[in-house]
Amino acid sequence: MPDVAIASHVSDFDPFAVEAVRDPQTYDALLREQAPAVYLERYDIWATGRHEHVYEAARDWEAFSSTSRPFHDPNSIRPEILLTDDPPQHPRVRAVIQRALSPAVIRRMRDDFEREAATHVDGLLERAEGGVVELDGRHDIASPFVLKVFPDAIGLPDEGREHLIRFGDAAFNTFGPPNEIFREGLRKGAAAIEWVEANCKPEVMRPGGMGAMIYAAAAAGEVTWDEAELLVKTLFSAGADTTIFGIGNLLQAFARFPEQWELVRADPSHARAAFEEMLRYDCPARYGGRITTRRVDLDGVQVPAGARILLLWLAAGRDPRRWEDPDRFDLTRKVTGHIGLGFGIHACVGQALARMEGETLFAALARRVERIELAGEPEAAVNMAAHGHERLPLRLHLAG
Amino acid sequence: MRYIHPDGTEQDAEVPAGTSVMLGAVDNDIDGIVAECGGSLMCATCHVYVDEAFADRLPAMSPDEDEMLEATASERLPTSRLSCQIAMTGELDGLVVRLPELQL
Repeated sequence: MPDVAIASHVSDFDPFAVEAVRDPQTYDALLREQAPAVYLERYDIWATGRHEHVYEAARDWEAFSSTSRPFHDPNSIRPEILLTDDPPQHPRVRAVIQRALSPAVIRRMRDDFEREAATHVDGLLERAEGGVVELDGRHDIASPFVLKVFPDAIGLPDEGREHLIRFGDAAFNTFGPPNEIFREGLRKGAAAIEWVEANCKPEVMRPGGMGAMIYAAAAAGEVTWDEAELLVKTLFSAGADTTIFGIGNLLQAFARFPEQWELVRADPSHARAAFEEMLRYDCPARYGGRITTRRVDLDGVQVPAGARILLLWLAAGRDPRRWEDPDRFDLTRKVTGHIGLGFGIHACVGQALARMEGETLFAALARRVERIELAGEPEAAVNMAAHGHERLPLRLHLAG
Repeated sequence: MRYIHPDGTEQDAEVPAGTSVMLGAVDNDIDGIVAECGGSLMCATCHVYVDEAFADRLPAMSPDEDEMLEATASERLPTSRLSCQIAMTGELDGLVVRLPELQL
């Protein structure tokens, strides 16, 4: 098969078929192992899943521009800002949202998050009988907590917050081809898109919240009012599903690696390291996208200029070239340099907030839950770019 | 270059030119630099106090770094920098940084 040898980096595989979308840890790993960069001929796009190249592509924004990416549609519902900008435009708008989400701002929320987490966990465990409670990791544990603290931080009204999840789902699917999954996301998200249009306006935002901070920057002339609205919509689209999926992925990791939960039980401050290791081991953001501005050589594979390329964050987190025993979840691992939140100028702008949500929730769980077990087969969510659960049946054993 | 822990323990490391002081610590298993964001200038957990003798040889501080230093867990001092923003150079050979009590 000489043609195979010549074109070993070419694949007819479809990473956006339902089977692959449900199990990206398996299928994206195959792409990662096939070649340093793989050409996906059915879509005329490229993909790389090796840590070294994904990291370098994220770092080198000049060779790997964000102004386009695979399946980019400027008219999609996804806010056309930040992830579609290069410098010099990008730092100007990024500075405004970054300030609203800075570690200093997030630190001031710690007490509130800790209190909400404890209240939420106490409420869940009230349902326990005989020291055991069965519940769903996504719908009972993750979603209610995130939909409380995150919209509170933005300064949103209490009504209709669940729309953030459908909006996020539809927005994340715009990172994939316009297939049936994409259309289904839009259909299910129709009401959410309407809600977002009505609830992203300056007059809706409570004073002191992140939304108000972003609009204050428009009032000060740092960004236009339209840009400020797009930044607020970016918060809406990127901040709920990702964190909810990340919390679910971490719950599943603890069910599979009970000795790791023991460590957090013994010292709840390990919750932060556990959340970080989840970002390597099973991150909710499956991939990002770029367009090359010049020809690049990825370990001998020549990717031409103008190529649209997927950066497979999830696959890079399990790259055996970078991580020892990559399929083992180990919160004691030195995980600095993982790219579960991206890297460089487009790294997740909400990362301090996400860490605070994860840390406070799992620390609260660790104080009251002795063991986390699967109570049934988890069901993967069908989203092309976000990796998490539709259902995650769990059994929690209360501490004595 | 040299990393000095809050208890006074000193650790020396060979950090090649072009590599940041943050990565130098990570690569050499030196604790005390957390660097959660991995060098994206997003977290302020790679905070160091740079020995004054090297102050005028450091790269200029960007407005972003200045703003992020407002969020350090240990007190910000005039010598405070984020170590991900200091790439080693020949001029910085022998650099000495002190690690803060807390990064988180």
